[in-house]
Amino acid sequence: MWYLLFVIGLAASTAGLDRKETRMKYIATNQELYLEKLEKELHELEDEFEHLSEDVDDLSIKHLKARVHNLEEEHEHGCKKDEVSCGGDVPQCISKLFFCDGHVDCKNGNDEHDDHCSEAPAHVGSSYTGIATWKSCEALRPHHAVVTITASLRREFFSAAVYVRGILSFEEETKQHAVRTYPLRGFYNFGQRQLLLGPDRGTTPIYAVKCDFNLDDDDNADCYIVNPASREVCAHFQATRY
Amino acid sequence: LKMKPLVFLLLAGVVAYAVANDDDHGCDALTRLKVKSQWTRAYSHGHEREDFAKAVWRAIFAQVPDAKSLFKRVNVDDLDSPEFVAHMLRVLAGLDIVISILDQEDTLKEELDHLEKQHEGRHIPDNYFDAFKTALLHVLPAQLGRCWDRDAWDHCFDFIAKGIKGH
Repeated sequence: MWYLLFVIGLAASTAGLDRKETRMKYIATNQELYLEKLEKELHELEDEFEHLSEDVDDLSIKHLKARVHNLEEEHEHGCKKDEVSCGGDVPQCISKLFFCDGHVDCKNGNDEHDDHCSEAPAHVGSSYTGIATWKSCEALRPHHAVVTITASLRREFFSAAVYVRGILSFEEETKQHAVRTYPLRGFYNFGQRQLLLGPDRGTTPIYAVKCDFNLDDDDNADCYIVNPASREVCAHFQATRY
Repeated sequence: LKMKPLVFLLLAGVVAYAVANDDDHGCDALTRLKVKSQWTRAYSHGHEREDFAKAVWRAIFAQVPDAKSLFKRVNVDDLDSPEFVAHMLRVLAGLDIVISILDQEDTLKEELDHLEKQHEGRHIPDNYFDAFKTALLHVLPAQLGRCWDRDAWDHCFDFIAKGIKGH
């Protein structure tokens, strides 16, 4: 009899222990489920957030600022013809001949700043291309035009410009890929961030090229194919580097 | 038979050209006109003239720093000092006179003789003249931006420098 009671008591106590454990598990499972629910809600929120338009990339902002700046300069006649703005908070204009010559001329030192003195546009192999739209000189449909730098030289004693050679080529006709090329020579000017190329020595003066790196980076330029003497614009192309 | 006078004329022309060429080192009448007009554009005016002069002189001293010893009297230690700016402009003004009378042979000779006398006692080595030429020949295209004839300037600068050096 006592023995039986003992067995029942033991069974009851183990059953009680089991129940306690099950309860604990039950609570833990619920907590996990609750966490999962929170996670799901968070994902939904994230999904919703991702559907909103993304932040604007830095390059677009840079370009936009440059375009506004170009319009302001144009409107306010900021600097004289051969002068360039130092930028920064206090406006100052200095000669295009003083940029990146190793001598600080701007009060804020911007004329010797790395941003302004990047040699990239004059690097050998730099190639700028875009669709050229002709408005005179040639009766061509809009086709690709390419300006490639083939040689460059920067003199230590006068480093405000890099003397370069280059090639202008443009498609005459897309079906047969007829391409015309013109050897050019000229220079890249750090102050104006302008690439000026005229006909190479001993060649017939037919075309010259003027590229303005006016979007505040080295990869985009506003290029014109012009008459070398009068600088009358023959064609225009928005060039990108590749 | 008809050809003979023509051939003779042609020959005479070639000889005359060769003689003239030998005399002015390729800085002939037409080249001088070219240099004159390009100089007018580069020399410009007002503040831009000062900037042009500064760029030329910086390029000179970057090549031959020792040349500074010649300009102690005009405060060369500070290239932006009023004294030296005045000096830079004075030198370019002298060059301006010479270039603007390149097409008036007699006046040109007088002016070059005058400049030769001015430079005589200063013992300026030839390589300083070369540095001046190199500086000018690099700053000019950057200043002009287009349409400049390097050979024309090469020849006419040599011609002018020869007149000032006297040899």
